[in-house]
Amino acid sequence: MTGYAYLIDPAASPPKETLNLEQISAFARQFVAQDPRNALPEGKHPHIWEAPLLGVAAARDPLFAGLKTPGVVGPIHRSPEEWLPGAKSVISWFLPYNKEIRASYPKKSSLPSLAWVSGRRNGEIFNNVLRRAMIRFLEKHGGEAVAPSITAQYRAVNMLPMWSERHAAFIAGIGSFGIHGALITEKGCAGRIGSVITDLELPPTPRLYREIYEYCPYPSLGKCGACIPRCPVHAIGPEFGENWRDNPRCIIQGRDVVGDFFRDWGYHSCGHCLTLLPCVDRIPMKKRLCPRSPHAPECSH
Amino acid sequence: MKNNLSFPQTPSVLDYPSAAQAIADYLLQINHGAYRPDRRRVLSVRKTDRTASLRDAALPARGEVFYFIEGELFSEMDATRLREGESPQARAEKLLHGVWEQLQVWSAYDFARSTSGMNAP
Repeated sequence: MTGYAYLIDPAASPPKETLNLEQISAFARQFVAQDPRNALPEGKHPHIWEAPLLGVAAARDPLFAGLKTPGVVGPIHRSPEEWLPGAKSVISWFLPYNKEIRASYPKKSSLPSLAWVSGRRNGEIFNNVLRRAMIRFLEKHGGEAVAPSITAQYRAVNMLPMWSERHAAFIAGIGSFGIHGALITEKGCAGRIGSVITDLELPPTPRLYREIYEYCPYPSLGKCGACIPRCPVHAIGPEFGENWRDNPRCIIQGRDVVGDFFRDWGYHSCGHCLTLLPCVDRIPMKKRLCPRSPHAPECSH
Repeated sequence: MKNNLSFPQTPSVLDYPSAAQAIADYLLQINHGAYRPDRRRVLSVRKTDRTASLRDAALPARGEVFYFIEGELFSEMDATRLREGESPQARAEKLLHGVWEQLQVWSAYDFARSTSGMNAP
């Protein structure tokens, strides 16, 4: 039972052990596989998340300072050091939706499936559980840790967050952005992201990309663009400038239209741009990847 | 299928008396005779009225979140062991005092409808 995973013996006073990403990933994978909260409360209670993908960023990575720039995130964004004095590392993860939940999404409806909206809501609750478990795990190894997205002071104003999970994941080598706004990772884009900041020194994960949209073929090649016609409210496309999206339109669809349809269930949120696309469970266009990438054996760079 | 049911406004603050009672009951049970902490037991919180109750860990139920008492809520070994002459109620209040603020934040986020902050609509 997962309760054991958290226990800390104060008498042990553990030293600041040298952890590595493999150990942290093994903990996260086991936790996701075993914690009973990784399940839908409806139906046959399928798992919400498959095994996570993890990466580490150095807290002093200069890209974090760049997130304060208006148009990237903005001045509201806080650096790892501002969240945790003495911060050394940021551990980020991508939780991919279970195939069963992805497959439940209807192909021809403008609305998502019940399993999808429930997975979105209850999956984020589990993401909180994982954030807290990761903090305990790091404390058990002698570190301090904080998950910015579940602190009392965290907030987002006009959709600009004090801590961007997606940008932290980008910096931690998890993946690059798609024009739909989600991160495209080796496990696809259909999932949720979480992170914790710690004062433990961990080797950063190499970023296998150099550009913001490197894994999305549309900005550089004009190819794919499958998410553009798939959006039921036409909120994705080149007409929306360098961000590629009309966020308010997207929010209204998820919160008001989908939310109204699933009102009795208490769920909301659309997922058209994360389903039935070439990037749902993989990086599309592998030939474009950097030659350092293990995903690009046929790369001709 | 929709209905016209109306629901009372959900309180945003975790109900302290029910949480203290649930923890005290847990302490009573695991300290009876000998100290036997039970890693299966969880503090379950209901969304509708934010009351807490004690139950075994299981698959999630709609409108509820839960926290493992051993390790997750109280992370230190032997935290739930009653000291000499200490009542379950006194120990429960002492333990809850140490995590109350944190537990409020946890449950607020777990029940928040959006990811824009724990008080987001």
